[in-house]
Amino acid sequence: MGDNKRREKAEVEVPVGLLHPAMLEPYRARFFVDDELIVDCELTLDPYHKGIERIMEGMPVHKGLIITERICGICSHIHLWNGTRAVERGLKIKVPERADAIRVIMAELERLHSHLIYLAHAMEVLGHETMCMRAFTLREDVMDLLYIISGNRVHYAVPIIGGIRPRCDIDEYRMNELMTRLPKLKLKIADYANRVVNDSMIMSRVKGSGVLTKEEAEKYCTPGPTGRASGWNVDLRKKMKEYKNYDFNAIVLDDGDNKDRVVARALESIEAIKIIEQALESLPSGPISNRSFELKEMKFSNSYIEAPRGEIYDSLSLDETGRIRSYQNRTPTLTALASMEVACIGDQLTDGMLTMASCDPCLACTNRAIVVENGKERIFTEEDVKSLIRRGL
Amino acid sequence: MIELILATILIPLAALITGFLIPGLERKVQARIQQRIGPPILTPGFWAILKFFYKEKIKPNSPMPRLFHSLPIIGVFVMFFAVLFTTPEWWAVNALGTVVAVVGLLKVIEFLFMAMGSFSRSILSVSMPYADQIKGAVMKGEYRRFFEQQSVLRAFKMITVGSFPLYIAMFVPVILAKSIYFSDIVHFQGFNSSFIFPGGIIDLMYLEKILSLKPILFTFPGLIAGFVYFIGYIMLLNEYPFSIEKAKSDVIEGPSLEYASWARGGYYLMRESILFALSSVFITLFIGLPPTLNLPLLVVHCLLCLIMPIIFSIVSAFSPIFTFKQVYPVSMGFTALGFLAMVVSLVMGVV
Amino acid sequence: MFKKISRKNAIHVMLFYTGGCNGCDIEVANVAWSPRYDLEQYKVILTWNPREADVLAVTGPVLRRTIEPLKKIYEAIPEPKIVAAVGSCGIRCGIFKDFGGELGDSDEVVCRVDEVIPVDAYIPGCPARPEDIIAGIAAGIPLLLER
Repeated sequence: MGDNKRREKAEVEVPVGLLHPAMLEPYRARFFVDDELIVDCELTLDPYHKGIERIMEGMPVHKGLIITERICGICSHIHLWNGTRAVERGLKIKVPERADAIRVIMAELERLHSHLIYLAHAMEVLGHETMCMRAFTLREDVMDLLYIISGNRVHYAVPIIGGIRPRCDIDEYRMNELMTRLPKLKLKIADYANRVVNDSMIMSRVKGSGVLTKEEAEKYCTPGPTGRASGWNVDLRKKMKEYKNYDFNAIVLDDGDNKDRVVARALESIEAIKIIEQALESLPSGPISNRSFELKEMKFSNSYIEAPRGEIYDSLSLDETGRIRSYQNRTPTLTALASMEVACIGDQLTDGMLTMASCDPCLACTNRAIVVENGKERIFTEEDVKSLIRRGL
Repeated sequence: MIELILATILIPLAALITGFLIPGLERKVQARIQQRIGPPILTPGFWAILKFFYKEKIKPNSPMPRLFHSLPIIGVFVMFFAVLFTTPEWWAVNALGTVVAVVGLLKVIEFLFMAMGSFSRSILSVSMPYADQIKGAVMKGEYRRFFEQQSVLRAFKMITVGSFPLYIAMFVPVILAKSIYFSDIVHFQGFNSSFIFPGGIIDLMYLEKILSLKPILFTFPGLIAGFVYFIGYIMLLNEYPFSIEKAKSDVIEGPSLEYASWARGGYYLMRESILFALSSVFITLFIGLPPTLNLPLLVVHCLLCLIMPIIFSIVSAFSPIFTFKQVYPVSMGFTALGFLAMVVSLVMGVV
Repeated sequence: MFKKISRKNAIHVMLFYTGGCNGCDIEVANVAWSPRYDLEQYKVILTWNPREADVLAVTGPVLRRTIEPLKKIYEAIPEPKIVAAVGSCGIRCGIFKDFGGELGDSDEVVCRVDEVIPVDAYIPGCPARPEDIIAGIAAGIPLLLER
């Protein structure tokens, strides 16, 4: 609300610590308030740093890619797909079409369950336990489907280099389950979204709070549905070759407040169900993996993909025996949280915590170490950040 | 004389026993709305308190630990006095059986939350060991505030704005009965001294006596005032939607963060006694049945006291937390409604 | 006698996350907030305050920044208490330590949970399933009754 400029003087500091019910991950936020109104905010993201990029150096690439899946517990499949995709593009391995279609189906199912966790979490931070539990009930259907296809509720390990694992092939039984459960889920999600939008008590909290304008979204490079809710029309799925056969809308809204972020994700879940149904109807037959390749030295190869929170960038390089020489991973929550630092200025403290949760942060993926060069902290400028987020593939 | 002693022992006992059931009923009703089985009815209210009494004694992080630990006990006794002032056996002893005395005791309770928060320094807040103030960090603000102290500021605002509805609604029966004494208010609704059975405790004609009451709740200003009292009840208890002082996703638990072992049992008891005392005062003022020594009437009074917590748990299952942006207009709106009830009752009294 | 009955009939669980991928934390949240697995019907209530807790559920490997808070929160819980390490990261740091890379491990993952605080119940799985979490907490309750 109001303009989002950081002010010079504040009255007190309210630190929100490593353990807090509003976020299910450790993070540290320091809010600088003037009797309940936030005037500035500083987030530190380093409690979670495990050095994954460092652990992966020197591992055989099949083994190393298993670790990429455990970077995050919600968006696990998309990290593994991106790493595999980078290797396949670098070594020029051709992936059969059936495998691509099944990878797309798993990615869209994961988008669905991630958005449902987000809705439940946003309602819990608002204080509405009943709607939080309703969202978790809806999510159980999706978890059942993921369990049926891959054997585990989280960390499915579906892609391998060259295709997908044989146990995840979609046969008669799985096709039946998917086709019967998805239409009912579509109706229930639409009903849930309607109920949220028509409830005046919830709307009075979320409408008009945590506003991020379109210029600020472009300046801070806000990714994914958070940026699209502020009017910045970029969806990487429209440019990926795996998605070119499917017809879906990119949801772009105008206001950029908390309500638009919630509504954008609810609408995106319905689009995700549309994509899955189209993929199931036109599922091509054929082999599911192409294992006729050999691992050789690969200088540098990268890949961009659209995760539920925005875009992910992976880059790998291999040495001549097929071990990983270096690995780089950059996740969307980094810039999403940076824009939320600015969006929560001018609101009350309770609304500020809601704004932090409304960009759907996945702090497990995000952690960076702070770079100290010559005794000074290096601040990334706008050009540095823009060069990291290229819009090409 | 003997009735006085019996009343002083039996009525707080009845309050305690009814109080043990109330948190369990709340959670059970909310759980069924959320489409799940909830906890058993005695677990949050009774077994939890007993379990806390058997835990290790701990020194709280507080500048004045003994005062901090004694505050919930003060709260329990204050609420028992509020119930006893409405009891007919106590009216003969002192002149404090008035609505104004109960209002004063409720103010003490509102202040107790502020006192609890000022003395508490939990580890989940500023003292979490983390390297914040290092070279290169932002350093604004004159000091660092604990969650409990932020709660105290919010409690202060709730005292100034959020207590109007309750107190305005409590004075509507006073206007209708033209007196601040409880004895006159219940006489106005049909309760007379034949209800108090002088020779014994059990009276088998209780049903006819109850049905002969003419409650204020069933008149037009009484209905509006009862509704406004209900909203003020939720505000004083700091429950959803007015729970900004102890919201879970904001200040974790508010003023009671440092209570452990037997003091936490005392805090739960204080909350139960506030729940009972406010319902009991409502039944006395608006239905005309105070807690007396007559056992069947006492049982009916306690059962009627369970209705308000059930209705309030249904309301709070369907609402989010309101920030002050929403609390101020809602409170002012209900105050205006209470004012309308007062004006109508004044007109009814004159006409 | 009342001691045992009351300890069996009301149990408070607290969750603390020391790192890890967040999968186990979502499963614990599922156990508490999802009507299918509803933890409250078993007389177990989820809380966020160490002063109120009996059982501490720890997930994740212990990282450099979270080792001090873990010790302080463990000390803040009054006796009697039990600790449950959830997930394979809680038991042995999962895949973040000793995974066989050529260049060794990372320095940020410091140690396992049971080198910092004494652990009573181990719940395996990556992530631990909700049914296993409930069974693990229930298995630790007889230890609570004896202390």
